[in-house]
Amino acid sequence: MLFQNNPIDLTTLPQLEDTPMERLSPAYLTVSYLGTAIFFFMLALVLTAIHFFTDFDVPFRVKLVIISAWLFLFLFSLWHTYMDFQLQGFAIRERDLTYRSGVFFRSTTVIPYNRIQHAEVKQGPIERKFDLQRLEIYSAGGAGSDLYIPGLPGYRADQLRDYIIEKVGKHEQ
Amino acid sequence: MNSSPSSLREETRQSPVAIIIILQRLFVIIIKSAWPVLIFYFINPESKFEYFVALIGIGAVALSTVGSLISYFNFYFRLEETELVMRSGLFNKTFRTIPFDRIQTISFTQNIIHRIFNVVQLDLDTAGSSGSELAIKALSHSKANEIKSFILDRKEAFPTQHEENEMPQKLEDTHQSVIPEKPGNTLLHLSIKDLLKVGVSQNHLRTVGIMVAFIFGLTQYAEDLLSKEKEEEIWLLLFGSVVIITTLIVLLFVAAFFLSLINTVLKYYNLRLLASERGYTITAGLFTKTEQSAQHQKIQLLEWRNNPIKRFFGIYTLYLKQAASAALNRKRTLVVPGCYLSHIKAVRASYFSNFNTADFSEYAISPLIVGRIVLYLGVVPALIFGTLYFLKTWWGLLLLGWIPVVWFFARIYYQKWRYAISSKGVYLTKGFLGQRAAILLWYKVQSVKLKQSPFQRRKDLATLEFSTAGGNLTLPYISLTQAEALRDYVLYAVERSTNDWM
Repeated sequence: MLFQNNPIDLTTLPQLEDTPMERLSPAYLTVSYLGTAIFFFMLALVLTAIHFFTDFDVPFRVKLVIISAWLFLFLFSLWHTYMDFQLQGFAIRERDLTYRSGVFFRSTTVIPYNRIQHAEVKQGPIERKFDLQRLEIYSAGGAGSDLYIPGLPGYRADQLRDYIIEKVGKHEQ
Repeated sequence: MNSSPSSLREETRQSPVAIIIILQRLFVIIIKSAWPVLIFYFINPESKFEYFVALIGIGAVALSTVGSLISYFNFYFRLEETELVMRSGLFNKTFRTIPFDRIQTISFTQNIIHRIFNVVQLDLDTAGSSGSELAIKALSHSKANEIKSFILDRKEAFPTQHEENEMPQKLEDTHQSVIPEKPGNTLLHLSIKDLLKVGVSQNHLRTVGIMVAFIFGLTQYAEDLLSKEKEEEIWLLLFGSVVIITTLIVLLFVAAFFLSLINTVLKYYNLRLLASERGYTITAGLFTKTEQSAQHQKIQLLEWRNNPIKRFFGIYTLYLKQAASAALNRKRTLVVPGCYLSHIKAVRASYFSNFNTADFSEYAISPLIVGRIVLYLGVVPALIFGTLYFLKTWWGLLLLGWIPVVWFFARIYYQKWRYAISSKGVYLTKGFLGQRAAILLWYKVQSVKLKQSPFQRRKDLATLEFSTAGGNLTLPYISLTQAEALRDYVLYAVERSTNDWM
């Protein structure tokens, strides 16, 4: 009953792949670098503490392996953060919202406005310093189908939320 | 507008039977949390643990008695014009109000204690945020019915309490979601014969799996034993242990078989699937009777499965996946074991009107999935464990035989994977030993996710995932162009749909 008398030409449908993606704020890259650096710094701190305050008899070779592994993972994470930033993006269309992410395992999630349950804007302490906000979009499809767009400039996140809420409201009338 | 019977207006306690029910529940919880101590006792019977056990026993009885009395005497509820108000707590008083129009389902359950005392537990579920369920643990039948009909009347009398948030259609739903007053026609009644079929065809392997750790412990013991013995005696011992282990495995399977059989009888005895205009209700159980219902609009996704034994009997297990918050998901899925194809067709017809295979075009997934399954589930584990054993003994090479086994099943899995698409929805069949099928209407979709691994990107493949409020449906390893076209179409279908997804 939905489309029966209404044959459609698939090629005339709007194609998501053609939609340009909007990038996240460059400040978000700085925040991500900071997060990675803090994590590896803490890890180094823990390893150093183990070295000085315990008397495990670790051979020099093993230490060398641990240090080079730490260095390699650190550099890899920085590269990954950079690549991730390059790929992350979102697109606002008339009737849906898209978010793309993932360096190796790439995923693109789309939620139509008429399926959005609610939208929220959030901000952590570091994000506040850089005037960044996170937009969280919830549908009824469970955790895997929710959309989190990080690294939006403050004004943009509010703007988007208001736009989405307006769209959702319009649908409900 | 009828006003509520005055007895419901006043603050009321539950039926005193609630004391026994809470007591039993608390007792079980306390004993459960004390079981490691008990096990320790059974392992070392000489240790002076009798005191401890006695203490735990007495403590459990005392604590649960006090706890149940406190919770009984401090729980009150009353009905207002438009909401249910409850008060509880000894030191910290908690007030909760539940507006009637938020209540999605009202259901009665009875466990064996309820049945002895002829009372029911009243469950009020307000779908949405977690912790929104309310259970009144014991009420007389008449009172429970009074409350139910009162709430239903009120819901109709005050239809527009939350107009801004909810669509008018939804209100009708909330009323419909309540278990139909008059049971509809029985679609399925599980006869004893079919019940036994369901029991026999349970997944015994899963039951075996639970007990397998035990066996591993024994083989370890046997190895220890072997290493201590002299060469000549080893063969005798080896033979002996092979006999013992084989016997144990046989016994294990027999035990697993009967355990699942008993479990099935307890759970599904006298199972009835009732179909009414509003939806489905399922009742079952030998000692604990359960009743669950799903209305048509709330059903998001249909799935049915069998396994080789079930296929032999021609039966399936049908899953009616309902919209619910994530935490409640499993509880809200209606499981109908022992369905024949005719039942499935009947339920499918109510979910997917005018289902006609001619409207669908069928596709296979990419054969490249075979290689990936062989790599991840065959080659990688075989190499890791094979190398580990190889370092000990040449027998490690035998583990390489795992790879062709995986290849064989991966081929079957690939060959059986089919998905068919129409303008209204998708229908898929898959499985490797048994069969699995699912059907989804496009307008039930909440969000669409397209995923690509590095391998899929090289081969222009993608995995497409549709989320619904009742669970996900995934199409793995389909061509990227088709995935994109399908995504565009499904979004189009969802965005222009005027049907409410629930």
